[in-house]
Amino acid sequence: MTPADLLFVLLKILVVLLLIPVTVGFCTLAERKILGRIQLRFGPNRAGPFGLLQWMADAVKLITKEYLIPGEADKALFVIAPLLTMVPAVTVFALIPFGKGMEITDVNVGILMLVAISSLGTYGIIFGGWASNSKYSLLGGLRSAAQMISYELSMGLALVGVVMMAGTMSLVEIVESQKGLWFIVAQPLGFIVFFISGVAETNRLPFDMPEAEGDLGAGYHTEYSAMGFGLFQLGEYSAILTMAALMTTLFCGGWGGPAAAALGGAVSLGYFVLKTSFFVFVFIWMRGTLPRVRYDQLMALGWKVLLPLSLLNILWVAGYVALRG
Amino acid sequence: MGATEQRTMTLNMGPQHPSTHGVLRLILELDGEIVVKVTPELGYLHRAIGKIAEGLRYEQFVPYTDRLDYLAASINNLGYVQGVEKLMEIEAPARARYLRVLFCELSRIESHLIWLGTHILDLGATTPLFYCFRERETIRDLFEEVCGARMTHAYFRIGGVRQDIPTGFLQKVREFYRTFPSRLAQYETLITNNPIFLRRARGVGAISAEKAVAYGLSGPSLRGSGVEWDLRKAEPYAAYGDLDFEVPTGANGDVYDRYLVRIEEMKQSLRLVEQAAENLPEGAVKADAPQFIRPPREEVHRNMQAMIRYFYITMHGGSPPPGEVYSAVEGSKGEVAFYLVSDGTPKPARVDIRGPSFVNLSALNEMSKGQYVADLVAIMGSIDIVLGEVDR
Amino acid sequence: MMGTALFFVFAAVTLAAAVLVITSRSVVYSALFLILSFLGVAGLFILQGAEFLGAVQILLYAGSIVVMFVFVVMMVNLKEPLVQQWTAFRSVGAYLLGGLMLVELFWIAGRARGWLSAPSSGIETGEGHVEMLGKVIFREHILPFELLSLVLLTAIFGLLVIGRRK
Repeated sequence: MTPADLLFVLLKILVVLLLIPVTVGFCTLAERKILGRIQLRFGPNRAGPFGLLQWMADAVKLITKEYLIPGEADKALFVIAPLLTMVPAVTVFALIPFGKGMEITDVNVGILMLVAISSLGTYGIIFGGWASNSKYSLLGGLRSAAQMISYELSMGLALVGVVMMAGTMSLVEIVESQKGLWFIVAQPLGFIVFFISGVAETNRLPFDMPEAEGDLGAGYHTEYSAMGFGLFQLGEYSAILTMAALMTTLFCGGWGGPAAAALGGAVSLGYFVLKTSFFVFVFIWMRGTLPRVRYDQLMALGWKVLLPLSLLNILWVAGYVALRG
Repeated sequence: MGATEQRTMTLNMGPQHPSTHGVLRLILELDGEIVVKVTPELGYLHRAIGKIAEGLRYEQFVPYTDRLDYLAASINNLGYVQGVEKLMEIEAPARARYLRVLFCELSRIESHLIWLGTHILDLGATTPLFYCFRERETIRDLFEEVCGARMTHAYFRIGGVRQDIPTGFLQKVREFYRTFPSRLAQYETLITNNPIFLRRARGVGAISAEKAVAYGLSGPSLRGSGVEWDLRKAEPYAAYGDLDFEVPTGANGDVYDRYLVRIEEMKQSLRLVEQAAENLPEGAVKADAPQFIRPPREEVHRNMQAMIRYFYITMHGGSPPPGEVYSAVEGSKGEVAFYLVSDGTPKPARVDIRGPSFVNLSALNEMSKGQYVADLVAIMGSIDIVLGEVDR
Repeated sequence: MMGTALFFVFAAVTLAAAVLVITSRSVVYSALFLILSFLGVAGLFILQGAEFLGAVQILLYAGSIVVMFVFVVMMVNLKEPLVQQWTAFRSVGAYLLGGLMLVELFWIAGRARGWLSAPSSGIETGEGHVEMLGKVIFREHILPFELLSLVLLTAIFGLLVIGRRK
């Protein structure tokens, strides 16, 4: 690796790192706006034109607020925990191809790496819950751990289907292998399993167990304030973006679309952003519509429904691949 | 395995917790996520309202009753003023009785809307709350037009209502009952057949009819278990005897049945509102009882006797004959009742209030034993308590 | 050049974290350092071009297994350090065993590469790694592999039996 290459990679990392908080900011704004519309409200419309700068105001507020640490909390862990959630969520962006030739790195075991890194996000939530030294937080943290482990399994098995069909673990090559047929069409079952698991992994409604306001207060981040809370939120929304990007990349042809391969660059990026935004919208839409499932029902769904379904999907894909030759 | 093994964990829910709907503290004994025992801790909102009444003249106490179940203030007003009317042996004129029905049923719808919004919010769905508040605003605008207050109406007076309705009010009521059914249908599409809601509500927090009666439950919490008991039908008061409506009941006594009962009650209340508005008789809105009720203003300005009476009642108050009376009405949460004792003075000797939320809350432990903590939240919501009424 | 520098960084992190795992007074912190140590090892794997192993190391060890540890630790809420339960006999035994292990490791490493040499390029980077691994497992070692899954299945059944008894 020459110094020029290294510099280029660093530059790419820097661009993505700078873009993530901004994208997350707009993501929260979009959520508030869309939820507002669903709920007969306007959503934020004071900061900037149409409230477009609201996310900035939120960020400034979160940064300048006092960082309260409960007296009985484990101080070091309490401070580290939000970072443990955020860092993996941001790191996985290194692997996602945003457009034709637009990825920080193309690892040949990309999918595996991605699942591996995002699985580390659980720790922030567990440790955050434990360090707060509050029963509500601890229960929230433990629920989250159990939930993520359960759903990682069916999610991983849904990914096996993708890998089998694409014949590669590299995300870049997976996108290219969907030129003819999107995997959402070829293996709808796999997509459904992946989608539900993805929602559960990101702790969003109807699976937002760890922070079930109704029974657990705010769950693992009950005791967090200021930027600690902000980092948790950043991690959560990054995870949503990642999930949406993954649904796009793995099942909906990634940056592919009419004339994307030929024109490349901005067009392919446009397709990617469009598809990802759609999935982000679906996430927000679900939040505006559905009630929350109960914890044991969530577990039952994961183990008794999704897991067998994902195995069925593997069987289907195996048959499909074998018949196609 | 030793029998001494400590398997339960004690968790404090409240008094600051979003799902206790006010300052209620629940001491939960949990085995993992299963509720072993719930002990409600009351008293955080205790104001000794019954004692306050002993220092006030009968008519002065009416606004205090607003603060019991503040989500359906008119119904409390009615329970109290009907009790005093019984003591004083007077009766409100027909127009006032129809207006009372109109107000009470609007209050019931409003109260049920809040229940619906918050109950579903506890189960994680945020949107219905905003929809419910849209309709609630309409109802409150109606109240405001008549009595100036949006929440604490104090519109009912001993022997009638404060004043007649303004012109154009009935038109607005008509508009409301024309639009409301479609709005209610909206909520139902969001909730009633939602598989997630069904799984959260069916078979959860069930209580049998016998147990429900034994605990003294009333209102939708009782009718959800299949007991057809509604004071509006059983002992008709105000104008309920003249009006046509049904009393919905459930079968299983679970969260879902209580939900269905309340939804159906809103429809029935709407029917009552419509009938009361359409059949509103003409005439006075206050009883003609010179010793208890002030003469109208115009008369005070023209007639010396009337002026003396006006001042006497204002400064001294009317004194009902000695005796005691139990006056119960069907509130939005159950049987709202006032037990009044008169010793022949202008102030009551004793006022005891039966808050249905308080009685219904006593069945919480029975309903939630062996259920998940998350179910406890659903059950709490389905009992529909108001802390102003639990701690009186 | 950069590879060597990174190697030492990862190695240092791995070792330091490993030491902290056993010296931390709180079990939760031990778990945290264990994750760090595993991540360091994963980094070393990736540096060697074994991305698959690296990813699996993170996914299984750092991701899943330690989560289980943490879960148990928090469920039983071990507040006081475990060290207190250690008798002198136990510590001596532990140090002896640990020392023996260390000597063995150095011996094996020394036989393979010579003492403390810089890392070789290792397995070839690129396409073939996952496929190669798959071929090795499913062609050459298919019997042991299937036996292994049988062992795991037995373990699952065992768990079910124990879980059901309650």
